[in-house]
Amino acid sequence: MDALILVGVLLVLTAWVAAPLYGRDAASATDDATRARLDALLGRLRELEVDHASGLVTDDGYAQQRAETEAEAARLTQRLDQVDPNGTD
Amino acid sequence: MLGRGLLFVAIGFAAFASLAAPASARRPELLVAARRAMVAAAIAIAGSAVLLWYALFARDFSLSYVWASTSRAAQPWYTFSALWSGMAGSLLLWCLILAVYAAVFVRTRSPLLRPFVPWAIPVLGACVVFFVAITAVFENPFARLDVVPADGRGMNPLLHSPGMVIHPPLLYAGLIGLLIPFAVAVSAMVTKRPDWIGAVRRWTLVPWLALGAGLVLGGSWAYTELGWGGYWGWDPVENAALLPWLAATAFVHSSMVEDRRGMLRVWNVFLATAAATLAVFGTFLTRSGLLSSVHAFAESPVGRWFFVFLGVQTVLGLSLLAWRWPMLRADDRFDSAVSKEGLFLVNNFVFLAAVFVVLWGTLLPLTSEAIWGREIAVGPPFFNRVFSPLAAILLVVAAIGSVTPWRRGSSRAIVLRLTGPAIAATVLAGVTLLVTRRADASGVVWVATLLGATSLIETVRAARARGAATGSSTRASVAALLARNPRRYGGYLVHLGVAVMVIGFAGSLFRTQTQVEVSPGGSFDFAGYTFVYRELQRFSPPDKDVNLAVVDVRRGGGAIATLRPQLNLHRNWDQPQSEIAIRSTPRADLYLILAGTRATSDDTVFRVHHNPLVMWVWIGAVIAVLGGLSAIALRPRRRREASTPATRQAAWTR
Repeated sequence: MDALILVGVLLVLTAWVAAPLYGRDAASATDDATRARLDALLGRLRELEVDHASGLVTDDGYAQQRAETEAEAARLTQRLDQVDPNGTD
Repeated sequence: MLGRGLLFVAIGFAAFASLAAPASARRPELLVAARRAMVAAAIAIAGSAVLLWYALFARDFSLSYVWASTSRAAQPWYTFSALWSGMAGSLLLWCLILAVYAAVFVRTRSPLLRPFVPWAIPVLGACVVFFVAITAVFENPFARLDVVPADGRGMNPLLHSPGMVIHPPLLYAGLIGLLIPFAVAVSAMVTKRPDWIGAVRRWTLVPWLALGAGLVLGGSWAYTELGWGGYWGWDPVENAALLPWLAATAFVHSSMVEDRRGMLRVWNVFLATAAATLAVFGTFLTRSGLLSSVHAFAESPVGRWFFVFLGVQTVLGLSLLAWRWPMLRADDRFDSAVSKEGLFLVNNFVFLAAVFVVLWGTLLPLTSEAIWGREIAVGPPFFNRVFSPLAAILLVVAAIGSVTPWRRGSSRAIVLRLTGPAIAATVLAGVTLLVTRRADASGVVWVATLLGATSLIETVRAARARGAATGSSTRASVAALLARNPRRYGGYLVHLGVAVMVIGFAGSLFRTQTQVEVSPGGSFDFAGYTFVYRELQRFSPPDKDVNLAVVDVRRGGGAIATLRPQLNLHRNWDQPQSEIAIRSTPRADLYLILAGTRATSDDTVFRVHHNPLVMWVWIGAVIAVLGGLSAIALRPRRRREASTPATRQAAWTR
């Protein structure tokens, strides 16, 4: 009886695992990673603003880090606008 | 047969996944199949675990493991936790947690993580194959007895604790989870993608928090069950779990530097490897019987296989590191030592020193025997003396780091921001010195208060700045800060919890204890309390003989508590076991142990400990866990800002 159940479980799981090998690959290329990185950069910008407002970051440091973050974000935004001009929503 | 057979099924699916996933570069559908195979392996292992649970609850004493782990008198919770009370079952739990981690990981929807899945699967699959194979081959939990006994021996009485239900799974979740960042690091090295750190943040925080919580729960279990009056004894197996936590804590901090500045890339791959290797090393110590410990299982043949696995894991990690060294060059350079990243680096060196100290002390009995032919062991005094200064440095560095910006900080500004916390710390430390006349206690209070006050003040300062900008209240701003930047402000909450725990640790400097023999009706005085021994009750439930003492505690003439410690003799184990009675207050714990009774009379030996501030250890741990959970569970509130060109523009100009 145990052997029968074991073979049954093995067959069901094998069929499920193997099913994609006989179907069509529905994966599509998206630039989700770039979008996530841009989100992280924008979050970093907000953090920088709070640090500046609370006095943790000096005016010079704020200007320099903001400029660098903006440049990186602009580069990513440009890339996203090229590959995804209408957005995903 | 079915339970063991499912383990072999799991091995088959995990092996298939390990081979199929790397080949998915040519045939993408293989990746989908590999993901499903990892899930199938988890289902098969879960099925095996469910069958063992069923056997435990059904009292199927034809299984050797069931006989050894439970009895007809066992309560349901202890029947449930019996699954991991012995070597074979605990390995099965290990496999189950690993397989569940792997199954959840391979189904990730994170766009940052997905590129690493194809080459992380072979690492995780190989781990599943290894651990399930040694379980099925060497420690089969479904092995049968020739003669079926009428009742089981039952679980070791020391494991009869509510903590036993949660502590091992939590600890395992911590140890095993550290294999995920390691697998992603390996994948990053193979695929030449250095951008893995941000992707693996949560997958690092979850095991780090689980391991930390598991360590504290283990301390709580030791405190309430083992009867020696303390919660941490620098036991080899405690140390074995502490080591990966120390490495993981270093990794949690240094990964922020890479995420933010693109620096410490080599270091982070090394730390991910070290944390995972130390996690397996900890399991190896517990399973091999190499070092004696109250936690260690009996010596087993799996020890040598763990040793082989450890070797392969270490060589793999370090070889990949060497192979991809040029790719791991930093994007940027340190602008100044007075910067958050500079302090994180100091923090990392201190954590590494702590790892070295604990590892050295733990392995000294082995290394000394190998080198000098005689065993030398070090105990708590050594660890306390060496570890305490390192911990103090870490607390101070954490406090300074909280008020230091990225890139470059002004020393003057940092000193100014630390002035408030330093004044608070100095006042409290001064009061401690006056009251206790102990410089060491005063020093501990100073560093803990500095960190706690800094964490609180910085959070309030940032909330006020945000409140001024948005017009919201300070309380609302604190919540908004936590929601917008859970990593930083969850981290401050963790620091606050650690500071509170350290205050609790300071109490251990003032522990006192005594041992008395007293007759019923008699009394004794200790630590300002009067203990009146009212009576000794003896009774015999099915599995043990119980001696229960009823002791009234008085102070200033009034009764404040009645304590009921027990000394039980478990018949199946033929060993005495104490149930300790504890009266816990924020000021101190009274910890009463019934150490022995006379056979011819009710005269009783009591051991009493007065343990100041222990409750703060547990309160601090709860605060730290809440902070960790915030950092993990809260997602930054900016998820969809980059979804469309319009929201991208809006987010940019806000």
